Amino acid sequence: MRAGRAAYLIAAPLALLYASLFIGRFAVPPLEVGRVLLAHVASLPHTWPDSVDIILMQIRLPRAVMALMIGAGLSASGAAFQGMFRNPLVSPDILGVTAASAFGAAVALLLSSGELELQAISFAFGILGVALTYLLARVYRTTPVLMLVLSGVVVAAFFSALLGAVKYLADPESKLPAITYWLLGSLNGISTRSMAVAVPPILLGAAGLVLLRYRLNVLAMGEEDARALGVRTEIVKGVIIVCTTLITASAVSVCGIVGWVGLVIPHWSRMVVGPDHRALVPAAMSIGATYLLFIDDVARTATAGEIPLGILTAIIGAPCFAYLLRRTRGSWR
Amino acid sequence: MTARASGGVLIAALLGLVSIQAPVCAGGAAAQAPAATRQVTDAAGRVVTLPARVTRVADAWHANNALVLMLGGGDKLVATTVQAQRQPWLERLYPRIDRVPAAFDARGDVNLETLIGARPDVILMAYGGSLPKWAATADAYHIPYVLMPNTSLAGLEETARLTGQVLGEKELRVAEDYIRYFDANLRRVTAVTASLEDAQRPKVLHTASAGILTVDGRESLIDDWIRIAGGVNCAQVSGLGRPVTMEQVAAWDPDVIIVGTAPNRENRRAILDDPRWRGIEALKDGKVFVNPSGAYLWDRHSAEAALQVLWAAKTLHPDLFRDLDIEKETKAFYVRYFHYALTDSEYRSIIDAVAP
Amino acid sequence: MTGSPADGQARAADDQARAADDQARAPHEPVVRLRGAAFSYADRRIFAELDLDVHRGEVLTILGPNGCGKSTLLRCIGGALTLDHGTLRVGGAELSALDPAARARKIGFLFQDHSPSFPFTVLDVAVMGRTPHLGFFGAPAAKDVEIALEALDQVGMLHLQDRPYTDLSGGERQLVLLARTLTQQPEIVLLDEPTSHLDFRNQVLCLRAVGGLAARGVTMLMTTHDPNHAFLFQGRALLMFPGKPPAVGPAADIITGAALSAAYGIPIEVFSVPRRTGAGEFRFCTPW
Repeated sequence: MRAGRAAYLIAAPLALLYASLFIGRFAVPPLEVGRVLLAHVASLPHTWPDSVDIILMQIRLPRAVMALMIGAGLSASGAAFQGMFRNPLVSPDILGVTAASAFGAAVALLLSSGELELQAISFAFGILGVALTYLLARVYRTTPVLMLVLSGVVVAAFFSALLGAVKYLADPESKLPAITYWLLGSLNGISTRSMAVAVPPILLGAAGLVLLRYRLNVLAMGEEDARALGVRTEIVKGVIIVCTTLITASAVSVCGIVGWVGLVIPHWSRMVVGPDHRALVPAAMSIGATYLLFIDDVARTATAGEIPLGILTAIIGAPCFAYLLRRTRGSWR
Repeated sequence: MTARASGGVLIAALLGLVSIQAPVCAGGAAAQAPAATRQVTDAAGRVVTLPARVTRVADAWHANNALVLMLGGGDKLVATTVQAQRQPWLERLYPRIDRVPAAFDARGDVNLETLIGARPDVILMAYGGSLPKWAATADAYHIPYVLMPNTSLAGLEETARLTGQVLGEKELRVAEDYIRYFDANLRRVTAVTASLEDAQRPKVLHTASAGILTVDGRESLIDDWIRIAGGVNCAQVSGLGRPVTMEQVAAWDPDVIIVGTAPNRENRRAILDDPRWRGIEALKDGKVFVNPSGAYLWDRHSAEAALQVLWAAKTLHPDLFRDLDIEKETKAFYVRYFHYALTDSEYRSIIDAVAP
Repeated sequence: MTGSPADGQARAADDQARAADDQARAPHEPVVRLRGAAFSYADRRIFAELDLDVHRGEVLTILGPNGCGKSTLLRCIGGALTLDHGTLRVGGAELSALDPAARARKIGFLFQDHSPSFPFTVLDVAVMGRTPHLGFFGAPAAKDVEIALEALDQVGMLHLQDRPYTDLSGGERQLVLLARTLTQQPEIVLLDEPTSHLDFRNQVLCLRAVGGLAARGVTMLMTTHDPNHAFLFQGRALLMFPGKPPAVGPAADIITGAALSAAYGIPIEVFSVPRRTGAGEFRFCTPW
């Protein structure tokens, strides 16, 4: 990766993070943002009301950081899965993690669990869903990618049906709107507590994908080739699946279903830095982080209400994807 | 698309036929048996022909089931909704509700066989501007349905009157009595609150939960009672259950927060425990309340909305309504309209919105 | 980015072990040694009681009709399939005792079908041959790139190094993959029908590259559908028959009209004509 391009990719998410702190319905001037942030590391005279501190440190900062993390994590997962499955139409939810996590969250909402319980139940179901897919795909001590894809379809369909059942049972005046709204995706619920729970698995998963990014190149040549090159494909695939599952289950558990990011961003990034996963994985993380934070800024500021994130990512993501398709004429092969 | 469009045209044409034929049929029936039918004009402006004596009622509107019970028509219920059966206090007041077939599900869909098997004389349903999903089906099986307004407090009185009219003379008398009672409560509250200056009106947020933040906005029954009780609904969105950002709530900075979604107590606790809410005026003053819930949710389209205006007034302006005894009013209300004497602990369970 | 120091040490230790291995090996131990090898799919026996020695720098051509088990034999030697019975020593070590990376440092495998995925550059593809020499989280360093460039040069593909390998013709791609195999620096290269999708010119280019590598001491085992390929190398051939033990020996001895006719079930004749230039003769076979 060229140094100039790398500098842009590092600067973009950080610049948008700072901008996001003074964008909002509640006016806080940019300089005051700087002072409030500084006050948390150095002693400064407290010239602003407490509410400003709460808005910045408890509401905007956790939300913006979480948007960066989830955008980066989903994009890295998408890039990894597209490489591993050698298929550009794959997204991180191919193994059923999203459907299973969503079901877990809906159950938690039905049971009126607190936000941390919801997060835990949703995360656990995401892991369970992928574990089921993996076991179902296992034949003769190997897990061929085709079997993984088909098992993922089965598991996703099963959990979607269960989700339908939960929605059917839910109280239409209190529970059903909550479930429906939650499924559309939102970062509105992020607090410092939910962040503390969600961030470690995302970091762990993203670190794993970054470390394994050269192995992704080899795996993208095909499993047989990779094995002939001495790669323990079952182990590498397993680690990649664990990493993406940690990321995606964690993301779904805090913000619901945010589609398209994991599908579109890897393509976009491939257009910028090429197919080599050594550059692609970090680039996808940067672009995905910036993209999701931008979309979340729109979601929370465009109207007095909150626009569901999943709607925006699809409304913006689909035309983006269409543009990329036209531009590359499908030449990822 | 074309198939669906032509289907739509077909349905529209059928509806047109039905509406043209309906008066003719009614006229024909009247000629044969003069006292067999009567007509009611519903909230959608439809003239609905009903049997003179209605003895079997299907109530597709969960909130309305308690109203039917209150008016004395409980034993006429032959089909209800899944959700009405889940209201613990309705079950306590009227145990038979569990044995009434639930023909309507949480999404407003109908189980046709259950409905037809129940042989209702009429179906009651809310009207928010569009016909219910099952309207064409009901027409096809010649089951009349009456639509009732659901978007304001005035509409609630109209609903009580319409429900009484449908059920019969005895029930209509109860409805008229209830409306007089309701109006008396409204007068009692507005006599004090009407003259309040804007500065004296606390900003009220009527919210669902802390996790998924949804609030009840303008142009709703909830906005009505907040205004009548001497407050201002600070949620500048329109309609019920609108998602808003945490930051928007901070910008609105409500003086009072009323938690109206089950489980109310847990949701109130979640708000109190969440550091993001800490800077908000209502939390500094300890003014986060649980909305009571009885035969139905007091804050919504319920019989107890008549009590809700009293409770809200007392909650927003305790000093102006010092002589208003909510416990006494509540106990009297349940005796008068549900023929049920609340114990002290039962009263608390309603105020705290927990199961009895 | 290079592998961690621990990876480097592991590699050094591995190299030492290999040197010790070489010394311990009998002076002329064959590079591939099969003894009493047998393999069956469920109830179908592919081969049994097979003994085979392949020596350093040799090209062994494996012939036989469709479904006789050429690829299966190659896969067993490559470690992709496990023998039911018998022993297999490769490069002086028991194959089953090698971990995948160690195996890949001894054996390179060029597959018949490769469906390309992402448009990696030719150089990136060739460098992937260094994978068995890297740690689990490692990526190739400058030294590895040099080895890959050298390999591309050997197969005549150096001028295409910056092109996406997905844009190449089938023949060029096959040569790039061969370069990737060479970048592995294996002792043995297994080629599964390397010419099957190539036109006449590309077949010849590919076979010439194979011959050139053998001359440099790399041992080659190659399956092919064209018996004539066996005559191009001065090596031995292994001819597999349906339901009979295979025949192994110098190509000229093994590939006779009678043997080919028996193997493929159609009449085939072998001709030999003197070369127009120089000494020796051309051999070729043809059906009639």
